[in-house]
Amino acid sequence: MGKILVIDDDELIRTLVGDILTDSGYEVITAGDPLASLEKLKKEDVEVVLLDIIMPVASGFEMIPRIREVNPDIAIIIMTGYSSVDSVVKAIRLGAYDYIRKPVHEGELRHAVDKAIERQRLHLENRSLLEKLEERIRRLELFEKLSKAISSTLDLNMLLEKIMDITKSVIAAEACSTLLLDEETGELFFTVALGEKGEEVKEFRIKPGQGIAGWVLEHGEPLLIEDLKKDGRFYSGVDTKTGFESKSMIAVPLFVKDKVVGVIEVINKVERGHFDQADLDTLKTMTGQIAVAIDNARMTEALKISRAQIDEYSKNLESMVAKRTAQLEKAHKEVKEAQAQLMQTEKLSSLGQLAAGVAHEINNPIGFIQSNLKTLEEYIRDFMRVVDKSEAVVDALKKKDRNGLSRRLNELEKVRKDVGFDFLTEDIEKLIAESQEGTLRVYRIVRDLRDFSRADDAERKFFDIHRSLDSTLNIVWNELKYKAEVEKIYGDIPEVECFPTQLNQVFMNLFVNAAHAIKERGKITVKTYAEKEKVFIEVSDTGMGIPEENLKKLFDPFFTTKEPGKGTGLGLAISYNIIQKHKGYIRVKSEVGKGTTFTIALPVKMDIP
Amino acid sequence: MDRHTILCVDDEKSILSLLRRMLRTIDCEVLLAANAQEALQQFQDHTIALIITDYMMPGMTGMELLRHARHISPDTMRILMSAYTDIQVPQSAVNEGEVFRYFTKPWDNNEFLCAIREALDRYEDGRRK
Repeated sequence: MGKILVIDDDELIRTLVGDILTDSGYEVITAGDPLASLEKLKKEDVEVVLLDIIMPVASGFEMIPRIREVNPDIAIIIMTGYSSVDSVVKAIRLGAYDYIRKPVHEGELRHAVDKAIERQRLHLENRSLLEKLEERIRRLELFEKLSKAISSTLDLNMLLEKIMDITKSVIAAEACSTLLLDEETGELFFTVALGEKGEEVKEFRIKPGQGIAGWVLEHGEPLLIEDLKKDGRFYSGVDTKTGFESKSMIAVPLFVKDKVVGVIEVINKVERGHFDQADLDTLKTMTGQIAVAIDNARMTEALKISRAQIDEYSKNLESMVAKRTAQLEKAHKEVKEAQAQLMQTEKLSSLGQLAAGVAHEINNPIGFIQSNLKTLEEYIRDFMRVVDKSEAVVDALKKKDRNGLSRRLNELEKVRKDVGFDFLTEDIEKLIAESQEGTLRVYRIVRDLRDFSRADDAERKFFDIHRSLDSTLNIVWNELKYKAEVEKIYGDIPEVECFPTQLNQVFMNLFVNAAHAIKERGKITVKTYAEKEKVFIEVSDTGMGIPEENLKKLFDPFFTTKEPGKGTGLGLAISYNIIQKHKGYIRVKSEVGKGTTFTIALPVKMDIP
Repeated sequence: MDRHTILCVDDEKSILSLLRRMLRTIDCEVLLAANAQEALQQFQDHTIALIITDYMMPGMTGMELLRHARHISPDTMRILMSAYTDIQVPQSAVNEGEVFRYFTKPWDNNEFLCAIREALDRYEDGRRK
């Protein structure tokens, strides 16, 4: 609590007032000489002044401004013998807080002083609050400036310069600098140095642990040093070189992600002032912002570099992509061509298989027809011999040449025996019947072949599936007949909208596969039935069956279990495609050692237009 | 010279008929078989000078039949017929000495008959030695 100064030329009053107030617990000092009282005011912590108005050297009215000059916060209570309102008003206008009348009443005095003290307390409290408020505003303004600076520039050096400029003016320092850590050498270098000798300072590099900045860097703690000359950590090298005189300093470490990356220094408060805790706090708070800014700026810088790199990459990438695309297109084209070629190969391979089978089926009848014709020629020659002899007999009969007749009859008989006339007449019928059957077989094969691969390939039509199955069976008969008995269980099915030739190819594949699956001899069953606008075709065999692991790959192109060169591995893949094209599906069920059943389902009408 | 016995094997009846017709001009006994099993049965009951068999037949193929025949009756001459255009199998058979001649269908009757006569001569020669 502050003291109370009583200024009165009358010693009696000084003593009286002093006693009353001392009794009330106040600490009181007194002054008889108004001018000497001013010196006391400067030295002592005075809260309230009791001031007499009528004094010889200087009147109370004169004293009020002078007291306020020394300390504007002191509450002045005037003591006046005049109970004139005018003098009181005058005093209050000059800055007095209250008045008491003379002669002094104890109660009035106590009340006035208590009130003044209370007022003083409130006043100080207010001022402190106001100061705090102002400080907050100042900081807020500072941060606003900072964030503006941060957002307005992303160049780190420019940014730091701006920040330092703001810091310097806010803290009211003579010099202000940012030192950043050179991670390679561990030294600090001046990134920004504002102040009288700023440019010269920039030449310096601070070694680890050197000077205040070095200490702060090593310890990661801020320092506020009132008198640098008394601090052993101070490094005077810079001052010596530049001629600048460092007196006081605040140095705060800059943290970026828990790592000290630099130090902010402010040196010498302007107008010989002192740095205080508030300055340190401000600077500490600011360094947080600065660190973020540095981090941001560094990231931005890194981003810029990355971006430039990315730009470069994307440029390269574009050309790489273009190149790769061209390569892929070429590869794709090649694959497509290869695929087309393979499809062709499969077709040719099927055709080759077909040709071999058909050749067999045709060669057999052609073989015996040709041979039979040759034989027939001989038969006719033999017949002619018999006819000749018969003619001779007739001739003898006509001439009624009896001797000649019996001789010729003998000759006829001999020739007939020679040529085996009875066998001939019997066999010639058989020969012709067999040959006719042979030609019929050839005719049928040719007809089925035409059915099998008609020229109107692309034409979609309603077609009798049974006819398709029969003609295909006929063509591959050669492949089947030695392996299996073929049972047809044909149901009552409608004609199906399809590409008949393509379906024939599928059926041929299934029949040939079925025959290949049978090792010795087995049975192939072809079954058809209709269900809900769909026609089903089942081809079953009693062959070796397909192992489970192969079932999944069965319709994959190029999958084959046949030895190299024997199968293209495309038969079922193509069949699958053909059935899909017909909007149907093909399924397979198989049991190893028992046999396999392929089921094809075809919609009676293809839905596509 | 005894009448020789010729065994013809084919699953195609018409071929058997035509062989019988062709062999009409040769003084011989003709036996017919529709498959390998039947043919092998004939070896049990007859001394066969010449066997003429089709290649592709149900069950045992003509090649297999001829191999068996060679084992049972090494002197018997062997002729193979085939409608197949793939001549690799019979060709190797000829090269390995399994068959005396190989004919593809359709054939020339005269050529075939010449081959049959030649085969019978060989058979005769073999027996004399």
